[in-house]
Amino acid sequence: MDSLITALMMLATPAALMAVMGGTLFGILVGALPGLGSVLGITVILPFTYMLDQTTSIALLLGTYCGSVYGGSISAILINTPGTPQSAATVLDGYPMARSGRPALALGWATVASTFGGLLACGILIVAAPALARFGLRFGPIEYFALGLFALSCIVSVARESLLKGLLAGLFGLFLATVGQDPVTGAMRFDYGSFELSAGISLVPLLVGLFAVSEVLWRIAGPAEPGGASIMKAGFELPGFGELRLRFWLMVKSSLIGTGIGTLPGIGATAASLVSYAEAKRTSPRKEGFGRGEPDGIVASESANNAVTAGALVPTLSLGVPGDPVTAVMLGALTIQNITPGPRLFSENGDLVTYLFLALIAVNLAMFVLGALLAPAFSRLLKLPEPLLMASVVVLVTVGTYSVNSSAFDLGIVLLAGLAGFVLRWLAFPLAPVVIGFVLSPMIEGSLRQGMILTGDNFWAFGASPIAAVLFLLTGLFLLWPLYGWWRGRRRSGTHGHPVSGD
Amino acid sequence: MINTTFKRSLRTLIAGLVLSATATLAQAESYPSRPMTMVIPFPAGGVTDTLGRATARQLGEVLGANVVVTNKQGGAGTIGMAQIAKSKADGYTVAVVPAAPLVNQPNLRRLPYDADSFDYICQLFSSPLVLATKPDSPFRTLNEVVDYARAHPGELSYGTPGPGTLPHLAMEQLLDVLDLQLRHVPFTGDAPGVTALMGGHIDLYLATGTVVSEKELPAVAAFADSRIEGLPDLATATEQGYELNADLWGGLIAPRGLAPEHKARLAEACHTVAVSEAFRAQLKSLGTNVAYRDAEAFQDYVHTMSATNARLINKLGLAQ
Repeated sequence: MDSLITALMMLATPAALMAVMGGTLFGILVGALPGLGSVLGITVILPFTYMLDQTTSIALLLGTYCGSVYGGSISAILINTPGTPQSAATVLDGYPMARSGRPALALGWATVASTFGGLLACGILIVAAPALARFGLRFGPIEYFALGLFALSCIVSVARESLLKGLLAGLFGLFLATVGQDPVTGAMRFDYGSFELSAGISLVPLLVGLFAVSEVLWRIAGPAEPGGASIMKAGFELPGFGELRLRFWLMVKSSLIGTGIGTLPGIGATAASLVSYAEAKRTSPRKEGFGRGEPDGIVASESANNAVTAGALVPTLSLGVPGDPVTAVMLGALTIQNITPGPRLFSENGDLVTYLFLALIAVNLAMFVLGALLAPAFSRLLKLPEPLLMASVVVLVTVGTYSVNSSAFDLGIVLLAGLAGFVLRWLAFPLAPVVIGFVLSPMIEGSLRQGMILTGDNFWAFGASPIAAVLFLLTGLFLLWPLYGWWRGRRRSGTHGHPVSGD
Repeated sequence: MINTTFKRSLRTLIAGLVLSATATLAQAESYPSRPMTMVIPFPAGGVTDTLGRATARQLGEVLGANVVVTNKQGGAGTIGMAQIAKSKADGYTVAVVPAAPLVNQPNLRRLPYDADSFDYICQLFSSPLVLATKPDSPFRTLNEVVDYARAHPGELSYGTPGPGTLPHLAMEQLLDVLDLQLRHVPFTGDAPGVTALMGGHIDLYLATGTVVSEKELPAVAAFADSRIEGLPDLATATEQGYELNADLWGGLIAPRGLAPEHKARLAEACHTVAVSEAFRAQLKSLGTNVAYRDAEAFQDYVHTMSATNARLINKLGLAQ
């Protein structure tokens, strides 16, 4: 209790509160600009934290972190481009919802879901961080492989038109991530003598090209779509109470998925939101509407990715092991502040940990307020004439991608990924599985090969791990689920039947 | 009239030229006269980055110029190293780099740079490595590990932050000297590797002393000349009868071909930074020690280590 009061006093200073608001605002802006991501946001903030004290720095860092994850949903909804990779799944229903004339409501759903996910995960972090972190340690290479495979199986439910095309797109993503150094031998793969390619393809340029640039090309050359800028209402609209109540348990479930995946180091919010989306689509009573602007899709993705922020802090704080690339940078920033995350942090620095939790809650609330205030300004973007909007998107993503690594090569990747995305759309391949495959590929490959080294090349020994065995079983069920639905549908109607619902 | 005007203009022109020439001269004397760039070939927030940023600030104060840090990551540091190598050697691009992309990577595969592509200013830091074991490990001393591994070849496993990294080569060298066989499980960086050790999924891991003390991991030996601060109870390998050292080290470099006066100025500043109390304290908070070598000694050390590692890499068949 004393610790809580001390922590409250630490937070209730003008500097700390300003850092909460300022950090969150900055985070939202960085997140909403495609190409700039959470890591870049934290990196920009980093030099400032050298000059600030502990409490202000922590508030600033947490604000930037959570704000950027939320901010990514804004561009996902408004311009069909995830502002950060974490919002890749938000595109799937957020954008169709905006296109159908309800951008204000889509932003409202994203804001509510993000705040809810963030707060619930905070609660879990406060209650169970050390215990969760200890459980996370039971995940070794074998368990990670099983988990990666399980996450990959969600392609089945994200694939919209055809399962086969979804799987092919997923394979394409898996393959793209094998470019570069072999994780075990260090050998070069598919670098074609190009030195830059030997470092592999980065996620951000790939994602920006795949979604943003291909969207621009699609609008220029693709078939005309109904709806569009003219009929959209700018603003921010909260979903009604009844609608919220209908989706309460979905929010809880998605937040739990996000927290759980966030707790395991090295998987990340992108995979979490995609898995959560797939799970929602599999079980939602409104699954027919998925992909066409169903709020469930936005809720699933945004609750999960914001829950990851607190989830990823679990191993970061209690073990000193970063949960994702963003918390890895945060870990560095905390070290500079002479805070050493690890087993001793909770016992030796209790006040500071409590303060950190409170700041995280404050940040999530600030996110809600700032989101509501900023959303109308952002959605006014859509009132721009289409050519101007599309041109701005190209400029934004180009500048954004280049600013991360000052690399002309990355711009080439953006362009190529844009063309590839356009061709995939043209041939009616879904884009999300490409991202799922790409994000999971290093983990699946690395952990499989590490596991094979540990078991002496005996794959069947993987099943000896109880966690892995359960995950393998779940993967099998996930893969067979659509087949079961298809079989049942056929038995009932005898006519139609396709493993996955169409779009 | 016209003549005078012409003369006057000519005079003005000459005066102007002379002035601007002096200005350039003065500029050359007062190097650095504009902000400098420090390239760090690893992502922001990591150990190298925080080290680099600390150096940049101190160096900036000593030189009286802004030192702006840019991170150029990828390819185990090689992408950034390649950029440093091809930068203009005008004294305005410097870099803080760890040893691996200098002494390992060029021996592993063909790269657009090698150890000769740089001017060496000074070595700044060194963190001794410690052989850590999983939490419930039965081993208490290096001897116990060696005896067990000798009796059960290929049974114990050790993790590294990746193939061809400094800890990987150091470990292979150790195994080579002791004639032991262990399974090598490469991870992508220290974070996942150390986590796997903490979860007991691998048996051994060669990590820095800071990682070991912060994560409260049991350890069997420190590969340093003397006992490590923070782990005073841990015997060195030498004390246990194995004369082996291993550390993570690095320093300040620049693209090859610096003007001698620029190099001298940088080397002097680098020395001032290295011996300063502020820098020592900062490095200590990052779990690293100041380990100064002057330009020549640093360059020699890089070449010696590069040759040693090249032999090891060839012997292990790691090269592409």
